[in-house]
Amino acid sequence: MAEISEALTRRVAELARLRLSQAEVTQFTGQLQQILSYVDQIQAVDVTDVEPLIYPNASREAADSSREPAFRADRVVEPRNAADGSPKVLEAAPEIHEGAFQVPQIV
Amino acid sequence: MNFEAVIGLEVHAQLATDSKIFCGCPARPPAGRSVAEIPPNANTCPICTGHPGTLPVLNEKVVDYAILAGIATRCSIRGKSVFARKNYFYPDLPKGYQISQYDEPICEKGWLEIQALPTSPDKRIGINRIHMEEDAGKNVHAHGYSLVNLNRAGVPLIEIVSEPELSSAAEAGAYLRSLHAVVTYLGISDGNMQEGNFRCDANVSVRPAGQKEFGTRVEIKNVNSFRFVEKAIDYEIQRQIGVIEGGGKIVQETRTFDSNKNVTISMRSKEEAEDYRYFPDPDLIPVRVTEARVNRLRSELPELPDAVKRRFMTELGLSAEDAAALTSTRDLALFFEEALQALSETGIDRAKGAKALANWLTGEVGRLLNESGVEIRNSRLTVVHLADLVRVTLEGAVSSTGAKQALSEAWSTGESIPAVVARLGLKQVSDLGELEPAVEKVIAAFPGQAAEFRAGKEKLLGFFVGQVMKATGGKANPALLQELVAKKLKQMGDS
Repeated sequence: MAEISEALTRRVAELARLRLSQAEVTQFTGQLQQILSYVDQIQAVDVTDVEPLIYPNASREAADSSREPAFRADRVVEPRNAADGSPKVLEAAPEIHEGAFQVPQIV
Repeated sequence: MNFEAVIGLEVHAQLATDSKIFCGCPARPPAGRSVAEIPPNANTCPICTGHPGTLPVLNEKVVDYAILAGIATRCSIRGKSVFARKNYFYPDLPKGYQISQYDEPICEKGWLEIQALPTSPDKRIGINRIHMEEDAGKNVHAHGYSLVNLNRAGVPLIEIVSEPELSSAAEAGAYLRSLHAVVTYLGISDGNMQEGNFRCDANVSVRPAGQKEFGTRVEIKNVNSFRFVEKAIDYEIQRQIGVIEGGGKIVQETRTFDSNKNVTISMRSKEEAEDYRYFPDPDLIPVRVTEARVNRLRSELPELPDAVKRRFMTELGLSAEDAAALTSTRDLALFFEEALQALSETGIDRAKGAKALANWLTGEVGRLLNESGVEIRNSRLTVVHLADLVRVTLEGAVSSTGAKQALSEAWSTGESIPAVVARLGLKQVSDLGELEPAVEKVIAAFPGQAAEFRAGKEKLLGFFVGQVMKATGGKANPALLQELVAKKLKQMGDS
């Protein structure tokens, strides 16, 4: 079974841009270790002859390999605007600046 | 110690579809408008902004365009390819992952032929894979906050990954130009580097000549012109050799090119590939592609740049250099062919006309296009302008200086060549009756030089021609004039 070290927890946190306290690092290292033991149990099952199931409708898909998926034709669907003419998606934004989503400073 | 460079290129070409890869939002600005003119987030919807509960549906044209790129680069096309999630955490990517392809890309194992210099032999560069993916959004960083514009999120791209088989900046440049010509001839990408729809990342490493193992590679990100890619690679090769010779070690990292200083600068240490945690995207079932689709696309394939180039050389007798320059974009090649057609209809010999047209297009016209940054189709110049220009110079009606002047007028106003020639009086005098008195007058004015010429100092001919040119305001037909002056000098000496 893979060992989760505190260093690995910190690395994953860094990649996810999470700031963890030392207490949290200790706590999550233990929890991640527990999750891995659970995965180990699943991995003990012999699946040698079982096709991996990735797609919910995989069986139908596999039954007819000459069948292409349903594509979308290359046609523009005009994006929706709010009543004031601004893009509809911005209605959900907590903060907007000159039509852009405003987020905390990245760099 | 001698070093050799090993270079591999990853090119992202934006596909020229109307709508995005997984939703119906516009993928590009309307014709004639630039990306910068579109208000931020105007081309977005719940799908490309990653709202919960939305599902992507693949744009059929993206599949067709990716297959066309594969066919043109002799790739094998997979009957089944798979979209995968590439996970990373950055605000240009609302879902937290980019939909891309990983271990089952749509095209694999092709090649492209390149010529680093017009005189070098052809070299085959392997193409490892071509896959489909969505572009990310754009961030602007201000003081204290950052801004997110998702217009570009979900715009369709193909990523074309070469094998690490390029060994110099010149080869890398030739590969890029060749690939650029292929995608623009196919019409699957606008290939506009300034607008960012043809971008290149270069992986560069060096190793002692003859060594089998690769050195540690450095990735140079998003360089936006062919020339800058070449400069960045050249700099990077020298930098790495310097580090190794100084006893140092190359660090695997991502660098960016500063085009003002011509240097590459470290950006961040590269995350390991595993950190992207690729896995098949359960929202998109595998892309099945039938033989029938591939065959139909194969039958629709237009004539590719290599073939056009060979045709220009064999049928029209153009040099490899001219043929390469004229086929660098499909528009330029078409423009050339249309102008040549117009010219042939006036009875001018095709090969002769082709050579003269090539000279104008790669010379003076090329210079005007480069300086203004305008594509020939968007300029005021038409094929009729070019055909007229070549015709009047080949017929001797206008001198080459006069023709350049006419071109420059037509370039800025769009006025027809015959009209400019008439308005500025550019027609050169080819009438002997008109020239003869002027020649006689000049010879009479310089009896000493005339005597020297007759005594054998033949280079004085140029002096007399120059004097007559001056007297006639530069309008005399130079070839005709030279002949006439020589004849008159001899005649007047005999009398």
